[in-house]
Amino acid sequence: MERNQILREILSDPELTEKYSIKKNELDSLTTSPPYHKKIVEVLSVIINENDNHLNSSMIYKKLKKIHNI
Amino acid sequence: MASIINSISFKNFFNYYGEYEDTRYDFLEGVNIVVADNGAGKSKFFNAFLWLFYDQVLDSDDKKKKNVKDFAVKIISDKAKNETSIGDQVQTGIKIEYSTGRYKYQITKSFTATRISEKITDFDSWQITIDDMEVDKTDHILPKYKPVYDAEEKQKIINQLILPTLRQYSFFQGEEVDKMIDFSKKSSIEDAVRTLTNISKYEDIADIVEYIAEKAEKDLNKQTKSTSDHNDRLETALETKKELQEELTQETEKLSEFNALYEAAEQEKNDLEQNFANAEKRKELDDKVSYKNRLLKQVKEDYDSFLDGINNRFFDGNFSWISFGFEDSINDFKEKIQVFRQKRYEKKALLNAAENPNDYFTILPSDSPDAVTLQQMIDSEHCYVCNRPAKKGTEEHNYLLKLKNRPHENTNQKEFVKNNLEDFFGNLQLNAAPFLNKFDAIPTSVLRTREKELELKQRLDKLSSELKALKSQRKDILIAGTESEGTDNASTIINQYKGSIRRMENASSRIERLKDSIKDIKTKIVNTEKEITNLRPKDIPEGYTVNYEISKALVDATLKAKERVFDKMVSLLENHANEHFQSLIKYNDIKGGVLRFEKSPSGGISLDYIDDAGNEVSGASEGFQRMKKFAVVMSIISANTSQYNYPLLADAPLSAFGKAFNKGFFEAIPEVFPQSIILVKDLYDKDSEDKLTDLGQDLMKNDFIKTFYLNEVDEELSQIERTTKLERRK
Repeated sequence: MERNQILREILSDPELTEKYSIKKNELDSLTTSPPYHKKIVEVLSVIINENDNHLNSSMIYKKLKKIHNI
Repeated sequence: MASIINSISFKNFFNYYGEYEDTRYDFLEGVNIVVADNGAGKSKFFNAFLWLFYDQVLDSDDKKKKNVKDFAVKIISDKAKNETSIGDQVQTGIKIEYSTGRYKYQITKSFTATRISEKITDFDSWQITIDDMEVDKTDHILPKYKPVYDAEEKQKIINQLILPTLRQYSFFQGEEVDKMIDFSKKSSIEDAVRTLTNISKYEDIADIVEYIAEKAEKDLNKQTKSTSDHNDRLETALETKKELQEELTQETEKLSEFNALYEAAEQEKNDLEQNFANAEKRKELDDKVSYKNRLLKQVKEDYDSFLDGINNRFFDGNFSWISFGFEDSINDFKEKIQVFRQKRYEKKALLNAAENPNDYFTILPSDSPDAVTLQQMIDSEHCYVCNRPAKKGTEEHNYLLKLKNRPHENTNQKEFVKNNLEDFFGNLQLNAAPFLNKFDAIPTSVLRTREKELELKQRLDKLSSELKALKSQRKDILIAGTESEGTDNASTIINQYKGSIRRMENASSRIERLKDSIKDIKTKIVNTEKEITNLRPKDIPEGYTVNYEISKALVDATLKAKERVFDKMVSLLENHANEHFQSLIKYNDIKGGVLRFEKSPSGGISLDYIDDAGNEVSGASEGFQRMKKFAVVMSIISANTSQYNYPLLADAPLSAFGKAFNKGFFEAIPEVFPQSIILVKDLYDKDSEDKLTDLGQDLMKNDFIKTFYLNEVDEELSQIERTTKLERRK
């Protein structure tokens, strides 16, 4: 619940919503759980979830690289 | 469910002498008031909770918290100590009972002291053993206390009464309200927001995202280099960005330095704020005191020399007052001196006449010539008695002369009184003569002198009491942390205060310039990044670019989200604070204004009181300042949850409030705290029949006041005999 709230709060930034075409109703129903329809949602969800799992920044970055296939 | 304190009892704890059952307070949900004069057990009551939570008590002498074990001898009731013989033991303890929704707990903390020598107040005269803490638990349905043995659970039960993180808002002594919220410290309101929000999560995420963005950029640049031929423009752009970023780092560092300077100056200003107002008042008073001192000295000298003058005049012999009361003596003297002289003449005449009658009486034969005839005979040189010539120089003529002068020849007078006081009385008469006409003027003169004396005395008394009042006022204006006397101290504070404002202004303008500069650099970086994006080769795997772009976008978005959450909470706090503030000031004549949280240039939050016209109201009383802060404390609690689950335990929270504030306070606290126990002196009135002020009597009649205790000590008893007597009035 708290995670979803953080996700929505960060993604509610107007520059982001415009750049990544996140609509208001879509934003309100976003959760940090898969499936993810947008890359940015997936990235941020992983960061939020893994921070809660006490993974450090370096480990989280490794996970993100996998998401981006790099 | 809320924690409600059901009771607290003491055993030989400071002035609370006797067994637990002798000194027990029972409390209810709602507002509970314990009224006591100084020394009647308020702070001791508070100390019981300090012992419960922190194993400490407050030493009222130096206002420092001391460990119970180190301070034990002072904690034991003097009476109990006195009644303990050498070799015997005395137990001191506190017992607190509280309940939550389902359970009820009883916590007992105590120690045992063995007396080993004579002097009861000596720490060396006692051996202290801290007893094991007893915690018992029962449910409400089948109440039967069972002991809790697990140390962790015991601690949990204590913490549950008031959570450690919330104790600063729920358990405090009067002046601590000032420290609870320090708006000059960025951390102060941040701490509150942190307690209330998940802002630390945003901060964690912001750190992670920043790290990721850096890594992503490095990875992308690595790819750029490995996949493209040499590109001068791209190299230059990347170099430019690097330089700009270094510049940005430097400017950001400078900004945080100036923020720190600003905060330090603001902190100093706020620390001095109360002192500054006080210092100004104190300086004003110092000037008055010094003027009055001079005046008093002058009047004192006048008075002393006036009294000396009167005293000296009594001895100079001319002071009419010395004849005061002798008015009748004049006639008395007259009569007596007449009698005296009469008697004296008689005595003289009689004595001499008796001894030598011939010296005093001229006894001539019959037909003797009288003095006139004798003179004629002398002049005519002829005796008419024998009708013979008596020529000058003859024996006959000489005989006539002798006869005429005979009575005057005898100069050899004899003393006829033992002490001749004629001169003494004559001098007395002579010396008294100047006073004869002054009798009438004496009462007026005495009256005028007395009036003058009274006038001087009154001036002296008036000046002395004015001086005393000024000094007492001055003493009341405490300059925290400064004990020294004199104008210099006040002047230093005034100068420091003004200096801190100057430093704030300087830092503020530098902060503004740095912010502009940072904004410029950021714009340049954005433009350079755009250029870099355009110049990047198109054959880089998409994942690198997306990774970089997303992480970069998230850096700004996360920071902004954090700001929004912070601002939202501040705004929520502001709303709650205003609601509580309005309740608190309900009975004051300062309605209409609002509390406003303002962001300072360094990011701190200042609390201002804005009046109807939008002007900041400053310089209000200490009570008003404390009330503002208390409103914020209440807002922190009410903004946190829909219902706060912990009691408020406050010792003398009203000491700086006025009467109207006090009333508002008692009405407002139930809005936030399910239970409050307020220890207060301000409702005590020694001279009133029921020992309560009007407000105390009013409050007792109110339904929201659930219990009402009055503590008293018999001040006529010696300290060793003094004990606190509890009286439950409601």
